[in-house]
Amino acid sequence: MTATGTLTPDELTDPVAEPLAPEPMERGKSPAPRVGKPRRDWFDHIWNVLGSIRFGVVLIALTAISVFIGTVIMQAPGDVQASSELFDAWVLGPRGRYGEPWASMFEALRFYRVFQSLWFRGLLALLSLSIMVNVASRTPGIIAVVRRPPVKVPTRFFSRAPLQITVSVPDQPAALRSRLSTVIRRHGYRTIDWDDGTTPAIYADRNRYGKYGTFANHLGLIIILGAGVLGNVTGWREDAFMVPEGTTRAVGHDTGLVLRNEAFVEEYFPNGTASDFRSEVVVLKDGKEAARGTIRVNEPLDVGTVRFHQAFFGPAVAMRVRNAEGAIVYDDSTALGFKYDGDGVTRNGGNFVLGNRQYAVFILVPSASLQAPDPVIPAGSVRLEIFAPKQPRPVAVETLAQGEKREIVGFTFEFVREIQFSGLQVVDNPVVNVIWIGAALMVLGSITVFYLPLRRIWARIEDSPDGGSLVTFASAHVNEVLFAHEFTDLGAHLARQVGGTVVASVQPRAMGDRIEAGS
Amino acid sequence: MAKASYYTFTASFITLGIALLAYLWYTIGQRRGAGRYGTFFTVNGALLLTTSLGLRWFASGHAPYSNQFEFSLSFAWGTVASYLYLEHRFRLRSLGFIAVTIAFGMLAYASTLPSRIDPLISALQNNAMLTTHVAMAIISYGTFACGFAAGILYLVNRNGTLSFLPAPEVLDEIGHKAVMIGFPAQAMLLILGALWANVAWGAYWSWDPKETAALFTWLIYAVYLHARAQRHWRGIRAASLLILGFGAVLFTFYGNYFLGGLHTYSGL
Repeated sequence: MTATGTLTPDELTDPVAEPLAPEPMERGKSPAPRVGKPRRDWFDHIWNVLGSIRFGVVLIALTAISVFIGTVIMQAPGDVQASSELFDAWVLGPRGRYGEPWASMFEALRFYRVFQSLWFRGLLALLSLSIMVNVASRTPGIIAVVRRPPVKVPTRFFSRAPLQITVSVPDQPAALRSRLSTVIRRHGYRTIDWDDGTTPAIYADRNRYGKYGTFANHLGLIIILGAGVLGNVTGWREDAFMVPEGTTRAVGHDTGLVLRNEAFVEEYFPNGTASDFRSEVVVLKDGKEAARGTIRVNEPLDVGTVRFHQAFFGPAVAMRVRNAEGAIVYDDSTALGFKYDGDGVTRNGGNFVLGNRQYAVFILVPSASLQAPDPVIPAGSVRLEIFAPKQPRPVAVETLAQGEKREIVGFTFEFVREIQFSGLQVVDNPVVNVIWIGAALMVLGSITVFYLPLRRIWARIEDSPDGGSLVTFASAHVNEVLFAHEFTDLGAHLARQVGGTVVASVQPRAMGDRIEAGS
Repeated sequence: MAKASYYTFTASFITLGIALLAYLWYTIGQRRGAGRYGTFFTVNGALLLTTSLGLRWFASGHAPYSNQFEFSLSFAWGTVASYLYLEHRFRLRSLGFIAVTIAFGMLAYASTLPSRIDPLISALQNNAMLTTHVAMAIISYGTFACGFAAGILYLVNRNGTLSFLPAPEVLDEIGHKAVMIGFPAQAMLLILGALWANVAWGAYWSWDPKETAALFTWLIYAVYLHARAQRHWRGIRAASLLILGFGAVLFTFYGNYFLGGLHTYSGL
């Protein structure tokens, strides 16, 4: 029985199992188990909870709240999360922003790394499980609705259904049914003839396969979540693959790929914003050219499943270093892709290692974003800070102008020239296309569920006291204003097509009289 | 061309202002005849706004979604278009004064923003993705705005005692129909965004604040759709979720002012 006091066909036709009377109990014996209603253990209870829509709603709501927390509270960047030292330094910022006790509470609850936290991942896993159990639980019912529709309804349904239309037709019932079925089918409905006793009746439905949309929708969601996890496990990414112009860098990750940056170009609009930046690159695999092309922000280069993206750019310096014998021990370019703060200014920096890890050479240049000149490093010069192994302070600090050579710690350093480096992201996600398949399924499933709703109508054709037929159309769709109007229009249209007239109509009050006239 | 676009924007602003007054008179003043004027001026306001956006598209060479001014205009357009669709579908005008207020408010906000046409920065130079990705935002935001209007009116007339407003059941269904359009569009917004991010940034999902704000919005409407399937969640609770959901839409829309992240460069 529905809340409105009307009956739906499902309620009328669902068989109700009559419980068997219990056997008389004998002293010292357990009661006989009920036949036909197996006892439920805690597996069943867990299954029922996981599969219930109410539990699903709670999980979606919790996920929404978690996502909101991760949106409004500062999140530690990926590289910061990977290093406890970096995180300890980073967390000083949020502590200053939120103050105590909030900052410590957020830290304890992992609110600064919500999306990487175990509890968030556990929530997503539970949500996925809940979706799967829910779909599995509903599957038999959905298949039954599609394959075994409730064709027959009790006679009283035609007088108690929330939507009813009665049409008077001059034809006799037996002759009318086939005509009426044909007309109903023209409106996109499937029809099945049946008899209510000796009274001819018709069952009609439309969009029954739309019920399967829920499978596509939820399967798509599971595929997206699964492929996301799989991509993280099987793939890899380099967010800061910096290659100075004219140099070559190995990609690593056992790919055998090497990228050569043949040229880097940056262009600007008159207002100073970058209009384009691009790299002309060649990718070699095991020494042979595998791909060649121009990489822009929206134009990555694919080599197998590895994709190269243009992400950023910055200064680089070409350096040449000779040992005491005059032999060249380093002749390459260093990308200055990191920012350093010191002496009240920001600088770009990078490093290279000399010889067999004899010295680490840090190179600094003034940042291009500085408003005033760097007080220590003149424009067009580089500062070299040379560190010996395990020494906290540099053993030498020198500033070189472009083209200048200088002997430092037994080596001759030459600042050849300043160039640009191209900052690339290199990604290998072999399952990324699976995500798009999941996404397509999800959207198509939603659209199917929303726009192909199952519609069911029953018609009963009685003898009319005045010699013709009285056709009663009935439908159980409640609280659907648009369908109520569609039903009314359909009834009137069918009446016209079989030469009848509408003599009575029933629909919930809210469905009819509150719709404003579209004058 | 850009000037003509601005003039038609101003004209649509004024026209929708008049439509708003007519709808107010219609609903609050209970003057049935004013409703026809409300529809007339809303249709004309929508046409002017369409012209303004079309001219701007022609002048800039790309879809008018590249900064907050353009997106505000598009948001207003989406709201008005969604409202007119629902007005036609349900044959009612009572939502008009709330939906048109939202559109009018968006245009008022746009009038405070710089309207110059700047060239597209390199990250946005993907016309197909820019057009489809943001178009989905316009559809979803516009329909969610109408769902919000239905939710507000539901709460006002939850007992069905105000005869000049539609019955609660009708408002409940309007809200649901609006979400049925907006929810897949919001899903498409997220998916197309992921597709674009995968091309431009090498990661289909970066947990960027704008991404997560949009996901938050989508999840609220997912809660709404699933909860509404339970009979006792229809009505006040469902209406409250429609209001909360639109709050999330505004949070996402204005989020670039305070969220930071990868989307801040575009002002979107």
